[in-house]
Amino acid sequence: MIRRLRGDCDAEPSTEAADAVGRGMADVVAALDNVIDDNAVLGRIYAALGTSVRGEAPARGAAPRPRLALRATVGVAAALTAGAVAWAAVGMPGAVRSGTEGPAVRTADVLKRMDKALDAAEPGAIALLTVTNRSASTRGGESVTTSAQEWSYGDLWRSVTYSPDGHVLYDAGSTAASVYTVVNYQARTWARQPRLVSPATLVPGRRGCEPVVASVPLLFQPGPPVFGPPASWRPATVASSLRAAISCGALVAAGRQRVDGIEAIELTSRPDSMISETIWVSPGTYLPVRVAVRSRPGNLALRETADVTWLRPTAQNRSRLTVPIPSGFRQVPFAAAVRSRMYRVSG
Amino acid sequence: MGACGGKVVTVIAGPEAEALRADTGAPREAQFVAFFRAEHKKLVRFVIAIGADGDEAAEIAQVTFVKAFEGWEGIRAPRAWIRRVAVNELAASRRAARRETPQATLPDTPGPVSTALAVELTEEARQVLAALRALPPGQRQVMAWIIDGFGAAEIARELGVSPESVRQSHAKARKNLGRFYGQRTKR
Repeated sequence: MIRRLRGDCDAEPSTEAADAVGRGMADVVAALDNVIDDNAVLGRIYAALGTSVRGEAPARGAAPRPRLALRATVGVAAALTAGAVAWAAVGMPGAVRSGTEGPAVRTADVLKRMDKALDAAEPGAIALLTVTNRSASTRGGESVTTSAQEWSYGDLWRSVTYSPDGHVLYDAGSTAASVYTVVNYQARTWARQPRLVSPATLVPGRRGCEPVVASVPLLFQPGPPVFGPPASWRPATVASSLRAAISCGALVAAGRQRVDGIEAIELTSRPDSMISETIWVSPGTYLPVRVAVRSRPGNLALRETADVTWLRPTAQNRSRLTVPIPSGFRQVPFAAAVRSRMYRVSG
Repeated sequence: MGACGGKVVTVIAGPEAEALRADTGAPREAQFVAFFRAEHKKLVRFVIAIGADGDEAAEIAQVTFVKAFEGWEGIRAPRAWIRRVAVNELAASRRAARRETPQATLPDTPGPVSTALAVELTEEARQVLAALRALPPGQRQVMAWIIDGFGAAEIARELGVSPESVRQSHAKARKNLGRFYGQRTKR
């Protein structure tokens, strides 16, 4: 480029300006690399032509002007800044499948963008993650139902477990100093102690496929934490586990479904996995908005849905990470506080 | 994709991209995708260089590649083709904008690409874009083609002018750019 700028078209010698133009224009491409996602643009082009990336040649004819496609991280950051990522977290999936895209549609593109979005939303960056779990499983022949809300932000974590009628049963969480607090609302007691397991051992391998695949069924382990949250229980870890599952090819794009008013991208686990898992991803931010886990027939009965809301780390939202100790509650040894943790609800 | 086996993306740039066009062994879609990956950002830069802002350039580039895919089999020199189409698209866009009747005075709001570029561009890149914008349109367009590696004969063919005219425009543009940078240095 610079050779031509210096005078390939004629015989004049090089100039400082030509060198500066060459360097500056190379910088423009480098900047565009950080701003525009080629894969997303390619997806838009194919969409405009009425085909998929892996699909057949598109039908010819007038194509609509495709919308711009920025890099996922830029889009996510902008959306979060605008506070536009609060998705309602209500109910089980009464999702309506649109069926406009085939099973293999844009899998690689979707998963890549989702991985980037999760990376951008990892702890400490921009997101406070709230997960609402509803589960029904069988233990010793009895049905156990739990619902909980979990917040995670960096090393901070909190989980509140509710009875079916909406009363708080347990409130547990850990601070940045790895102090674990649990409040037992049934026994009106509370306890606090250093976390028993170091955070490093709690987080499953991000890129190693074996541990991650093994952990996928435990992403939303039902029931309250006992001696601190297992790795799979922490919402922040859910994000990294999902990223690992994506990188290991454990998820496949299955089309679109309407979830809480948005045409979410549906990702499912592969048919040969022990647990059936479905993840719905926002097409705007490529962050998960709902996860459903169900055991395959013949295995332990398990059915659980988690709705995910991504919040800005405002002071108000961060305050939700603190476990309050209600007045009048009695401090007890840790073992005593967790002894009667399990609760049963008939039905 | 890390340890799980990743996707290998082959980037083919410059003359190699043209060579790929002649490789009849590659399927149509693979040819197009490789060409797109090699040229997309450069086309956006080209459209910026001839006077568009980031958002306009990105949109024109997308529209141009849609057209390129549609007519892929018949395009002989795709690098030049997409630039010629993009120039026409920008001109059409400007004509359409002139025909529109403003209903109210709205402030100019930069789009997402322009906003992000404002953050990402280096100082040197900003200066170059400012220098190009200061050139007369004809010189600016010749410079944009030259920046993308085209010679006087090719540019003349695409612009429908004589090679000599291209050389003259180039010489004037370089003189003006030298003046621009000289003034900057004096400041």
